[in-house]
Formats: sequence, structure tokens, C-alpha cells
Amino acid sequence: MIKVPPTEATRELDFPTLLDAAIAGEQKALAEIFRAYQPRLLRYLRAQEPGMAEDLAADVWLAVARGLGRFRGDETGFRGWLFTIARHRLIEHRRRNARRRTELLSNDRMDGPIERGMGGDPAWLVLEQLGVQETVEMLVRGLPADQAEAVLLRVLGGFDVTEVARIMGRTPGSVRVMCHRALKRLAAKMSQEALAE
Amino acid sequence: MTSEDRFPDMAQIDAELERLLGGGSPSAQAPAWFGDVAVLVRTARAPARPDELTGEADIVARMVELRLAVLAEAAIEDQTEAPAVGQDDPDEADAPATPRVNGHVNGVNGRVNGVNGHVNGTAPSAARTAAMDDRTGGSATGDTTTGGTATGGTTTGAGASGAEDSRKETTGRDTGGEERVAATAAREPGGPTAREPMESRLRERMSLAELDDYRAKHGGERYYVAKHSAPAAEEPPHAVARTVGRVIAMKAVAITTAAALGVAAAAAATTGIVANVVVPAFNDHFQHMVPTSESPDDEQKDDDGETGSGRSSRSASDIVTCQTQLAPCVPPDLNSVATDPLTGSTLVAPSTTAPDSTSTTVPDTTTTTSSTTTSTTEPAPTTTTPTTVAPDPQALSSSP
Repeated sequence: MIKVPPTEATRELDFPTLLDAAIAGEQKALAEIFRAYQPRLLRYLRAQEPGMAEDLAADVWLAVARGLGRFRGDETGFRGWLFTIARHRLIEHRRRNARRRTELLSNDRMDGPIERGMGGDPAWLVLEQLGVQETVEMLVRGLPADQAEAVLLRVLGGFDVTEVARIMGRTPGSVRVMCHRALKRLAAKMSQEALAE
Repeated sequence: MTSEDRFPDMAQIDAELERLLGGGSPSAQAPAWFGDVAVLVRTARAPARPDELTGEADIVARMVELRLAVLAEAAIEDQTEAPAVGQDDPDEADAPATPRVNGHVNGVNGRVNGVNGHVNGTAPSAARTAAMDDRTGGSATGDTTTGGTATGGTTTGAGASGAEDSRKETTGRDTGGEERVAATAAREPGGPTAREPMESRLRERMSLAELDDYRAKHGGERYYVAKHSAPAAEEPPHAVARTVGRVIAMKAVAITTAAALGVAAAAAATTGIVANVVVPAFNDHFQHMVPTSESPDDEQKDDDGETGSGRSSRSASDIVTCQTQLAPCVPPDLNSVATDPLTGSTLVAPSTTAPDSTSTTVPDTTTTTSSTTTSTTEPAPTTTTPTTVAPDPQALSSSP
């Protein structure tokens, strides 16, 4: 039985049942799906477009709600569909942004936890929040765009090479090579940092 | 030592990378940095943090609303595209109703007017909903489904805000198919009720006697029903503008045609005038310009002795011709009066004037002229006219 990723601390639900309920408009089913996939989706978007990640994620979920009735597939297929929509939204946003020539700042990531009133020390909240996101950014920092995207899809999306190739419109061999080069570059960078320390 | 040195086999490298990117721990023979990357990957895959789910309530509410709207649209499309089964076959149209609403209609009641009777295949079954309730520990059906439970083919609990007509027809019938028809009729007033029994539709349009005649003439009712059940043609948009445009176009064509005809008629008339009036006038003018028809003014000028102009210089032949033409005008020589040998009467040359004019001759004399001295305009009838009026030499000389 296909399960929703257990690392998301969601209830281990039968995915087809959950999907059918979500298609019928059940609020709880839609909320379950949202909780299961939103964190990784948001990290993926933040790593690529920090200033607009929340808005893009909301657009993605609305697109999912619109097209959910036409979706056919299992949990992996749904995850691939979700990240494909996210990737398309990202590309559209970058096209618009390139036309507008607007530089968006990424302060939202810093200010978000404080503005949202999560309580506690703001500095600690920022550092804690940066922990995960900073880790993600460390993975892809300094990488070419296609290598960074391949790594993000593999790490955050949890896809195998074939799925990543399908989402990116590449061949599996090219995706494998991209991931390999990305890890080599990451290793070289970490070695340099280790030497510097 | 590089990874290629440690893993000479490419497949082994791939397997190690797969394990690494999948969040697994590197093997013992892997380089040290593999462990660091593995830590990064595991951290990146950490469970959801509260701030990452901040907008959950808002986004989920919008998703639910969107899903219900999509379902409602799908339901409307289903009913609009009601299958034509039974439209052509009266037996099927009158067949007992089959239940069209399956068990549980949820999520649409109260949101869509008049279409709450048929959401087919998209709603989860009751068992599945119950399972959802068990899992989530809540009452999912209580939140999102209000009424709309259908049993058999009868729909009870019609939508809270459904159309009045739709509600009446929905509760008055038992067939799921006719519920669709009722909803369609409520939505499209005046539109064809495709699911009604054929006989009633035919009766609405003509009496049975007429129908029999029609059947006999056109060979059956199917053609008739197909012809008359078709929806009326929609009024084209901007009817007034189209009419005005047509009128303007017709007027433009008429004006253009009239102008063309007028120009053609004017050209024809001008040609006729030129041919019938101007050309003869020119001909006459040029005929009067020949020397035999000199104007009296020129003669007067010549008589006055003004010989400086070119026109006054005449040759000797002209003068001779003139004299011969003016011969009738010259007073007859009394000595040369001819006498008709047969009758013994005096012969008088006809005058250059009209025959009925007052030709004057001396009563006691007879003037005989030859045919060569007659005028060039009139044929010279050899008539002998006894004249009783005495000739006036001055008048004769002044006549042309």
C-alpha cells in the first residue's frame, strides 16, 4: 500500500482514499495532503525563489485543487505532478520577473517568523528556521541552475532519476550526470571549507 | 583519494549516490564528505516546521471552495449534456426510471442552485467517508455534506436555494433522468425539454389528426421531432446595427447604380445631340462658306471698292460663275425673249425663288431661259407660266 511520506509526520493514510476524498472536496483530506507536501514544496521554492516562495506555493495548491479531478495516478505520480506544477509556476514567475526587471529581496525568510508571532526569542527563531533552509541552500549553493534543480528534486521531492528526468524534460542519463557533478562540486566546496577551518 | 579511485565501478558510484540522495547513510568505504552530504540531505528532509504550515487554513479553505466549484461545473455540464437516450426511442423514454443518484451526494448542496440532484461518480462512497471519519477522528460528513442523501431514484431534501420550478419538478417525479430535464428546463426557460415523452411533445405542437397527416406525408414522426425539437436559432447579435448596415449598403449600391446610369444617359444624349444637331449645323455652315453662296456683305464691300482683303480678291472664273448664277436676277433682255415654236407663247425662265412665290414677268413679253441658267437648288421644271405682273428690274436684281 502506498503511503504518504512518513517523514512528514502525517497520518499514514491510504493514498487513493485520501485522493478520492480530496477530489470530492473533503476539507480534511485536502488539509492532510497539504500538510504532507507543503514543507518540501516550500523548501524547494524557497531555495530557488526565496522572496516569492509562499505566493508561488499558494498558486501551486490552487492549481492542484483545480486539476485534481483530472489527476490519475499513485502517490509518486501525485508528488511528481505537484512538483511539476511548482516548477512551471517558478518558470512563469521568472519570466515575468525578467520582463519587469525587478529585484526581489529575500527578507521574507528572515522576517517571517517574527511577524508571525511564534513567540520566544526572535533571534533563536530566525536561527532555527534558517537551520533547515540554510541546509537546503548549502546543498545547492554555487551549483549551476540545472544541477541545483536536479539535486533539489532528488532530495526534497524524493524522486528517483527517472522521475527527475521526466519533470525536468531531460534524459535519465543527463540527470544522473548532473547529480554526480553537483555532488562532486559540493564535496570540493566542503573540503575547501574544512581546510579553511 | 577521489570517489573514482574508491569506486572504479560506475554502477557502484550510482548506487552510493542514490543512497546518499535518498537520505541514507554512506557506506564505510565512501569518502568522508559523503557523510557530510548525507547529514545535509537528512536535515533538508526534516519534518514540517510550524512556520511552513502557516497559511494552511486559508489555502485549504480556498482549495475546498475551488473543488466544490469545479464539481458544480462538472455537474452542470453533465446535466446539460444529458444523453439523448430516449429522445429518439419512445420506448426508452417511457421506460421505468433507473436510479441516477448513487447513495451519497455531498459537498454541492446549498452551493449550486437546482443542480443538487446529481453528482455522480465524484462523491466518495459512504463507506469511504466513514473510513475517513474513523481515521481522522472527526465527522467529516457533518462538516461538508448537508442533506442530499438519495435513496433509490427519488431525491429528497432538494437544495436549500434551488430554483422553485426545479424543486417542484424534482419532487414531483421519480426518475433520475427527468430530474435532469427539470433542472435543464429551470435553467433554460423556453428551451427544449429533451427528456419529456415524445407523445406529449408531439401533442403540444399539433393535434393528432395533423400528426397523422404529417406522418402520412413525411414518413414518420422521428423526422418531425428532430426538426421541431431543435432549439430555435439564436438572434444574431447587433441586429439593429446589422439592419442599418444593410440599408446603408443597399442605398450605396442604388446611388452608385443611378450615378452610373446617369452618366451613361448623359453621354448618350450628348452623342445624339452632337450627331443630330451640331454636325448638321457645321455642315450647313461649311456649305454656306462655298463661293456660290457669298454673303451680300462681301459683294457690298466689293461694290464699295474695298479690295484690300484676301477674300475680296476673286479670280475671273469666280466672277463668271457669279454672273451665270445671277443671271436670273439680271433683267431679261427684251431682245432675246424666246418664243415657243409650238404654241407661239413666250417662254419665261423660272425664278430662283420658290415656285409658288410671286414670279414676275412682263405680261406682254415672254422670257425663255435655258436649263443652264436655272438655280442650283431647285430642279428646273420647264414650265411656261404666263405672267401678268410687270417685272421690277430693281427687285429682281436685289434678289439672290
